[in-house]
Amino acid sequence: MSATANATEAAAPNRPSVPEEHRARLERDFACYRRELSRLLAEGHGGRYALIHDGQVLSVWDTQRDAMQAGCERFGLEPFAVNRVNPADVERFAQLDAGRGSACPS
Amino acid sequence: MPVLNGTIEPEGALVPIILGWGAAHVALLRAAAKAIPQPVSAGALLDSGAEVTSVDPSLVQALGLPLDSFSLTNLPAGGGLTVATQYFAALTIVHPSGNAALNLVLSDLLVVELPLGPLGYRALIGRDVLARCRFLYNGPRGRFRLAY
Repeated sequence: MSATANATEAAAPNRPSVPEEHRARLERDFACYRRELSRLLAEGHGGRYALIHDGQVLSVWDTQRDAMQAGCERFGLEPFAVNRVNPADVERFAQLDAGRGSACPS
Repeated sequence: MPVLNGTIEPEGALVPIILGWGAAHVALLRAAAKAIPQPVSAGALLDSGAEVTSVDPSLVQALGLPLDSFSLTNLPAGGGLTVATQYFAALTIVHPSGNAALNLVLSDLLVVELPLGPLGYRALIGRDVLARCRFLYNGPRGRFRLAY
């Protein structure tokens, strides 16, 4: 089972419902985000926004808006993903893998 | 700096919003001579416990918002840490004066889908938006103040 599948299965009670034709793309890009997260943080991109397409991080931007505009300029109405490079996600992925997805620190 | 003053309702600090497609995607629709979905009005709760802004699936469906990605999100109102679906959108907090120049406009914003309908509002304004604001919750007076 892939890392992404692990994460989404661990959060099964809240697993998002999306049209089946989009699921593969979403899971591929989410797996990419997870795979690249440590590297992006190590390179100082924490808090910035990664533009992801076809399972690859293409660029990193300071704001959501910049990342969204870059994605639209490059891909038009074709789907792409923008994910915030969130330092908290390292621990969150670990929590989900451990099956503690309902833990709420707040 | 515009200031929005409001009364605290039983549900909390509620503000009117308009949700629509983000500016970058609207520009693409225009260039392709495609129809632009009409923005939708809704009530939203100012929620400093929410990490990100979230919207009810009814809004996502009404607008046909462009799908972004999965994301890990901590939304206490949605049961805590969850894998959520993000969409590209634009969000306006409507100033009660009716003067559009006083609205808070976020022309390109990622929003998370979260079932909220039964709670009496259809969006949560999270810390991603509140980070741009000064938010004063005056419980004893039953008032709140949002400056941006």
